[in-house]
Amino acid sequence: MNQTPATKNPHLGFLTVFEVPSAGFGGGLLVTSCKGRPVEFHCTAPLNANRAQEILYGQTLRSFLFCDQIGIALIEKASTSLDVVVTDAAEMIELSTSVNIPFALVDLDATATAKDPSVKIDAHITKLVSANTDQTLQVLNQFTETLPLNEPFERIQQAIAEAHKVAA
Amino acid sequence: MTDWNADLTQPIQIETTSWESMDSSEPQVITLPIRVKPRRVQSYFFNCESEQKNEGKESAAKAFLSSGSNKTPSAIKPSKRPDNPSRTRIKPPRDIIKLSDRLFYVLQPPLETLLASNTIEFPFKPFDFQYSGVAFLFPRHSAILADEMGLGKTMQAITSIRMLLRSGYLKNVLLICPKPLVTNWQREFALWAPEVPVSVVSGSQAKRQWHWENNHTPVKIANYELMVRDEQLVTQPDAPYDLVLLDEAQRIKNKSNSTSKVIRNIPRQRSWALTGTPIENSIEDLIGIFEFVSPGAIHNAMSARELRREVKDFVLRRSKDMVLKDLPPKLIRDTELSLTGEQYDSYQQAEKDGVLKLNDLGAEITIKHVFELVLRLKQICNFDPSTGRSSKLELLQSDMEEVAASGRKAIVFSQWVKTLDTLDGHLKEFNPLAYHGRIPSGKRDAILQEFKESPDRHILLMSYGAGSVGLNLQFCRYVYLFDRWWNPAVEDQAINRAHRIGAAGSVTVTRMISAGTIEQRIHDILESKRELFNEILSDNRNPASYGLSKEEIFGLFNLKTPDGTISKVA
Repeated sequence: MNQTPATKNPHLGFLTVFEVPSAGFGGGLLVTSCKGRPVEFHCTAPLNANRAQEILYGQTLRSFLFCDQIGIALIEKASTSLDVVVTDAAEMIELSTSVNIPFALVDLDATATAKDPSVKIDAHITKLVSANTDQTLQVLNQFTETLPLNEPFERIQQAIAEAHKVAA
Repeated sequence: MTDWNADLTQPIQIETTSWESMDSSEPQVITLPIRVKPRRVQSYFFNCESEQKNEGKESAAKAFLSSGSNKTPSAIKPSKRPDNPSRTRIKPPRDIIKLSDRLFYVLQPPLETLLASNTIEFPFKPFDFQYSGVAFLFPRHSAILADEMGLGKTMQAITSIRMLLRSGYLKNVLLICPKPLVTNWQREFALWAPEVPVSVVSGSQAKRQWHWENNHTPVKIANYELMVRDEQLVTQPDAPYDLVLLDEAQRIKNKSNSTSKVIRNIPRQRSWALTGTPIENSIEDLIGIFEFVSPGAIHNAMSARELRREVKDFVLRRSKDMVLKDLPPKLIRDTELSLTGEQYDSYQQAEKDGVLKLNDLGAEITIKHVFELVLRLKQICNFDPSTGRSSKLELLQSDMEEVAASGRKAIVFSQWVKTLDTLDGHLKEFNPLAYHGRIPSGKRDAILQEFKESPDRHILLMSYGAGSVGLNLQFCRYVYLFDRWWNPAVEDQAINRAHRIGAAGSVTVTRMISAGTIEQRIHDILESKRELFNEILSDNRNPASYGLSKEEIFGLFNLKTPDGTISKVA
């Protein structure tokens, strides 16, 4: 395996989608340092697809909402350059090529070994999309020395709950 | 060939036909609007690591929460990724209103990670509930840490101060504690925050003045007694204290007390109070402490429910039973015993004579007079003065046969050495050992050692005063409170000699109460206070420390205090 020099101060984006009953889907992006400290947080209000979108996008509707509506909007707002985006929404993986950022898909409940045999780093990773796998794994490895990859998603959930509490 | 070329040069005749109008309607297009308007995104930015240096308290504080410290004290270094999967979160207190400020705390990684990555090291691994205590104190400007005694309030406060000092939130801390505890605090700081400079305000007037005015050590320790004497100096510092921390904060429960008034006037940003007994006698005690922590937040016109709701965000209270899950159960048995016939006659006569005597004193009556009667009656509840008969002794003897037969050991507590001596004479078959104030301190360790190691020694007779603090007797499975102390906290300390970390099994505590006597009246008052405490602080397990007030002591005999009428208690 080729050793790729690691990024000096890498930043990770933790991207998730949440559903609010009757209001639709919203998203949250937490940008952290490799030690897990928050640098930026972005979130969207929930949105629902309209009837036309439902008809035209059909089975790809979720992908449209998650990637084209929520994911892209959140990633574009990040002022920090992201070395890898970790997401728990499988649909988001498609974004990797359009934003040109490596993506890692995680299973938040996973406790067993990784499903992707090429990824030995964290039990939660199920898929990795990266033009430079070694470098991406090094970034993820730096993070997982301190925290598991599913931990920041707890924070996002709490932050969104906090935002809702304040808004209520 | 020429003809053929001539044909080629001949112009082609094309006949065309034109229509002026197609006269056809345009094909109809149906447009389905797919509105892809840009999503509105709410953004919060917490810090840029390159901007952390020298930008005031706020960014320095964020620096702590956002990056590692370069300091590397030499001690046990917690692993970066905690072995313990539990994650302690710093939750924003209610008085932080701005969403971005609240999210700053909510989005922090778990406290364990923060401490590890900032190389904050500990001599011992803290318990999870201690992390929770730090997470409670850290973001708060107004806080009461009211953990039961022995759960490490000191360590939690020091660690929080340590984090806040490193973050830049704190630069000058004033810690006020009872005078005898000053050296203990110094020792605890040396243990839990060795890099934090601490100084003690003490000595002559001139020396203290220098301390107050010129000593800029981050943590100053002063005792309560100095507050009134140094009022001018302590209430007019060059700059407000970033934190004033009160240990044993029940010392300011009385709002009109001069020490309380001075302390409330100390200019400060944060007000923290440590106490295991936020309610000693009545809700007024808690109000008194709140006047320092968050003035006006609660008042005595509030119902218990309102109080509970209001104090919830300010007070953290945990008992041993709540947080030390591996501690074996403690079974409390309140045994109401009827006096023997002789005891009953003696008791009735003594009470009748005593109350008459107290009434005769009229306005001259003092609390001391009432105390004397209470003590006299309690002694009769132990033993009849003329015959030596005792229903409590009868029960104890019966129980001890079973305890000894099962090879177990028991501790018996009394407030009187004389009672212990009498018991000693009646319990010889169980080879009793005695441990009280009259035993020379040089012999005490050997007594405990023998009690622990000798299988024939089944009973240890202890006084509350000598045996309630600092002893580890967790090999005992039975504790008897032969008579009751005034203050449940002292009883708890006694019980905790056996019921503590390392206890071999469940501990049975028998509290002996003579039915229909002064003992039962005192017990009832203390129990009602326990209920009040639990109702307000949501602690349904351990008792708080609350003794009897002056009014309640007078009320035991339906007497009036010199200040006015009181209601009948029993």
